[in-house]
Amino acid sequence: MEKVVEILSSLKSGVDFNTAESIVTDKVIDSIDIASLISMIEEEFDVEIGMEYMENENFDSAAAIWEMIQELKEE
Amino acid sequence: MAITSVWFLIFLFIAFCAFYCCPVRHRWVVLLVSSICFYLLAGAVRFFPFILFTSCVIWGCGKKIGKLYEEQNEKLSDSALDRAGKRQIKEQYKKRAKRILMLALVCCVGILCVTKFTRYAVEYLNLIAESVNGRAAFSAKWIIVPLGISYYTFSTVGYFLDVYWKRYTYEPDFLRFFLYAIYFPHIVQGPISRYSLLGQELKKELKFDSRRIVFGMELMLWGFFKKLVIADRLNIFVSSVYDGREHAGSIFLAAMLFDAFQIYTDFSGYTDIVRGVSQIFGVELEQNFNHPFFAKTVPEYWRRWHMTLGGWFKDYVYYPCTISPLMKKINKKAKKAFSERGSRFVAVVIPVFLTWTLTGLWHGTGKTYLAWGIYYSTLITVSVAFQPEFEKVTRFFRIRTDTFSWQLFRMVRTFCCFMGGRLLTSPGGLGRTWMVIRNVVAHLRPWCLIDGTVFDYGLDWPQLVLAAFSILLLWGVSMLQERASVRELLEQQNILFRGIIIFAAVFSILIFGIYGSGYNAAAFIYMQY
Repeated sequence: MEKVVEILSSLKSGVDFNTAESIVTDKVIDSIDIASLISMIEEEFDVEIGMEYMENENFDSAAAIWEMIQELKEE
Repeated sequence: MAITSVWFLIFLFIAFCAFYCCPVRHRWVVLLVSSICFYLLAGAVRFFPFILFTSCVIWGCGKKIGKLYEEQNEKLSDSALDRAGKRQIKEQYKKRAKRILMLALVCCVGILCVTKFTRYAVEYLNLIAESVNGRAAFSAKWIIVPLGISYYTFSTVGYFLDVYWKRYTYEPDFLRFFLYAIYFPHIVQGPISRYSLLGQELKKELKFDSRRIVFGMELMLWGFFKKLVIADRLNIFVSSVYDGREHAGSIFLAAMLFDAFQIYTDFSGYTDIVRGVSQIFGVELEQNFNHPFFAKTVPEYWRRWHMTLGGWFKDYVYYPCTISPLMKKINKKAKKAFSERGSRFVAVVIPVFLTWTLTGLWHGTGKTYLAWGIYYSTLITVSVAFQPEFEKVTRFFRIRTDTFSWQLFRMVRTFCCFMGGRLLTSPGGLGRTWMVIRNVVAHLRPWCLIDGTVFDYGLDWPQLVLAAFSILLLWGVSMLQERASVRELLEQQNILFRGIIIFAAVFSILIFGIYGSGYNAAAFIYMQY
């Protein structure tokens, strides 16, 4: 999960993504950040994010993103 | 039957009585019958087959895909299957689902495109024919644009894509689905409702709740005030300035300012009315506006203005484009060719331009709306791509960004960007837009605002004062709404005070509202989409 936090921090400085929750709902990151985030996650973790995962709840915190990555790896 | 007409209020009263006289479990049927009646009365009988066809196709294809997924899951549950076998089954079903997806999209989006673009194509063909033969070759009279086609197509296609992407399962009951598509408060001008929200709202027990009914009526009143007192009053001034003739630049500037408030009060007023109507029946519609003029950046502005359309384009155009295989290929090539920042710029610019060009074309066809789409694409791309430079500039000039003045500056800047966008579409063509800019730059003549010239455009000084006072009231209420629910605050007051406020609102609408011939208010701007 540390890597996820690192990626998120590279997109938005000044936020503690270890503890931050509802980062999409509260507009901490927007759709343009999510686009960059997806490309970085796919490259880093060698996974492919499909449209079925493109829901706010999957990107709302570092933990949620990490959980999604685990799920994608299991597929 | 416009929703600001007396006929609509009569229709609403009948629907209300029928709805609450009916047993709770059948109330959705009353809503369905009322919605069909409204559609036939507000539109025309000839429009009805279009919405019925779209609903049948989307529902039928959605069900077919849902059944395919159920079949796939059954096969996948076989424990004897290895990973490769499972992948093969998934691929096989994915292909079949994709074929159904393409069929439904071609049918429904095809109808939308044909009805919206044919008029434009005919106009262009006639221009060519006139230059060759000296007369038009085609008549545009036969072209019809079914009532609410953009809104119901987007709502139903959104449902369908969500089923395809397995976000939720299909609706087994066609009549329930048809109610979602044709539900009368949202059919004409949105909000573009998600099935996950409105579909579920329409399924819950719609019980009588006097508090909610009063809240709904209060919201309707506020909507009528915005539309009839502010929007239609400002419309008189704006439409007489944008008449295609030359005026002083200062008059054009006043029209640009009024136009911004007019479109906001027109559209958000409509949304308040229909959300209020829906609340009366116990159904919550999605919020479509969140005080967009308080936005500090253009992207934020679009998260506050016509939120359901922005959300639709984000989920069904922007994200699919961003994660598409083609976009991934482009990103990989960009990473090799450019620096990290350059490749990120490429990753942003293509989906943003595609999304905003399509958003522009959703609003209207032709060069004007294409220019509008490009205008917003450029603003959003620049604001994202040059963020580090903007931050450097603020640091260089030692600007304190936590101050009220800086936040106010950002709000005014965003508002000016919005006025710039309106300037592309409101005057009625890019030629006229250029004429307005030319007059603002070369013939400003600011004294026209104080020497009485400003009163030559349909609004005398009491009317202008009233318009200004109404905008101030709108601003005050919006400030309050940013902090708390005004209706809840009103509820906490004594009954006498609440009554006075409600009566004042009713009387101000009746006395200060602008009514055209036959007591019909001006048509809503967003109805044409």
